[in-house]
Amino acid sequence: MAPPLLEARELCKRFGARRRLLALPARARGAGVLAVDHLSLALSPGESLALVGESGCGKSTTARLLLGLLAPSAGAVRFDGRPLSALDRAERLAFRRSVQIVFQDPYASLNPRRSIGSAIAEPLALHGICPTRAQRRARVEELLSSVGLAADLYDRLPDELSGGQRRRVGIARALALSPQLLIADEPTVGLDLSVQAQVLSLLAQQSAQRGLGLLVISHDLAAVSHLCERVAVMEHGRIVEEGPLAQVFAAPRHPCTAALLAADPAQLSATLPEAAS
Amino acid sequence: MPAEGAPQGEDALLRVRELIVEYGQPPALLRAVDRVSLELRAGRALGLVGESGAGKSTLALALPALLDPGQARVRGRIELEGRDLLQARERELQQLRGARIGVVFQEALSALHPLKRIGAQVAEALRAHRPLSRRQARERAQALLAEVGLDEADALYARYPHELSGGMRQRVLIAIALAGEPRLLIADEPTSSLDLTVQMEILRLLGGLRAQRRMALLLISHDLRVVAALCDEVAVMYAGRVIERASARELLRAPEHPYTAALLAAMPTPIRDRAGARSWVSALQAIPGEGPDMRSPPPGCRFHPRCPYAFAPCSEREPPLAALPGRSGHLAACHLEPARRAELFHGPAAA
Repeated sequence: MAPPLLEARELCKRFGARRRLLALPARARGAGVLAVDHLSLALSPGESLALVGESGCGKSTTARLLLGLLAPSAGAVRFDGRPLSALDRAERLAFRRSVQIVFQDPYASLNPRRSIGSAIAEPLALHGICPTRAQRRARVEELLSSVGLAADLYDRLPDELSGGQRRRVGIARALALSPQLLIADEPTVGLDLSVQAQVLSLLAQQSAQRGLGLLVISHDLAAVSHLCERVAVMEHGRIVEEGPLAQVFAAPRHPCTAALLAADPAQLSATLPEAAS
Repeated sequence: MPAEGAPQGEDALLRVRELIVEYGQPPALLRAVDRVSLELRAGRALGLVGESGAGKSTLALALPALLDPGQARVRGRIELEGRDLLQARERELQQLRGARIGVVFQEALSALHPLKRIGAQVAEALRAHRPLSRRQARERAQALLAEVGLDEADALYARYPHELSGGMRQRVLIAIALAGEPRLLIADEPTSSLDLTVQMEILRLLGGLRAQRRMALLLISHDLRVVAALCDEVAVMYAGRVIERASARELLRAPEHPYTAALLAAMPTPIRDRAGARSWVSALQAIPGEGPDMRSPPPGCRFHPRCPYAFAPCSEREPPLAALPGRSGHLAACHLEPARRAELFHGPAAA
């Protein structure tokens, strides 16, 4: 088996050991909140993993830790076997190129005053991948078309785009550096079902074409089931169940997994009280 | 014109006729809702489904006459218990809102006052409808909060909206909408920003309240599964028009409009058994493209540019919303022959 591309070992993150703030409930004072609690996971190159759980279970914090955007309180994230904290400048750049994120909120993650094209071109310029403007423009237009957007969106501003188009821009920007692993944080939240299907299909297609690894973070098991081979279920900062998707779905062992599986709108009518007619 | 408050018997509680809502002025005129007709009988639930921009939320605001007349032009008829709301005076409307029609909006955080305690907001809604002493209002508000499933209503009473989870805030909004004991509850995407597990709880709550209170429900959502689970009948909107109407069951089993069929195929389904996970990606069929620019909707059937089955007449004439022979209460606006439609999309829907 190939060594993991990205690995978390006994990862912990504690937030807010605040003492003096008024009106904080007792449990939030003092020790703070352990958002991620001794979490371990490993992603091999090209592998797709779904990290699922309800709001507040620590999914997004885990994503930020894995990207090195947050420093862990304990434990470590390893990239190609080396802890992130020990990477030198060149290695850190290589890490940034290899692991990219598609953020949850496409409104907040795009600069409202910057054109779509220049938002996608920025990582190319920063990493010196396309040194000239003309090269960058050509590459951005190629990226736009690979995510199904017209090249003439290049000069548009984010607020001229629909939610689905913005989500595609986020994916194009994450793909710009040809990463090995894409972390998608709630890729379908806030989108219409029909557009959700477009975004999921796009992620699946890009990952298949590029041999790209995926870490998909979501509260929607049904949606990620279309993308990932393996699933890890999180609750209170821990992974409570992990395994091949089909196996976990067929025989969930943890109540949290069973609850997420039961949250299926298609099954809702069976649990409703009889309506007055 | 029926007399004010005339009894309608088994007639519709809400009857919408050829409703048109337009924003702006020509040449930038935008017709968000275009000749929509609906009926809803007392105690029944109607679902309104469609993508962003289909006109669902505009309709939700137009029905209780909440659109700013300076910005939106509303034409047609909206009859509530026989009374035409578009002809009603503002004072009359204020009495109707809350007492006859309750509305639950999408954004629970922005719909609540951030600086007022939960209890005070519910009590305020109660006192707006009937004279109550402070103590009575408090008791009723606590009972109402308990009814929407907020167990520790006592402790919650003194909390501020930001101290509550999204699901709890949505429950508070529902309590406020119920304060006037409406006969019709309009819920506009009541769960779209919530976790799926919480969504299910809220939807179950709405279904239960509707049954207990014998209240009619107009549920608006982009999620056909949600709407079909809770509603007796579903209307599918596309680009301001209702393009299909049927009982919820019939719509899921045998959709007649290509757009409805495509919406069904785009719903994610949990995998319960499989061979190779990746192969399931093909089972999820996205609808190509996006809804039209409503300032210049396409001629003919508005779905034709995205429709895989479009043929010559689709771009020329708009198909009427017509009843299907032998399928009572099922209407669809499509030029395709019914036999051809059955062959094309009843297969995937049955799966």
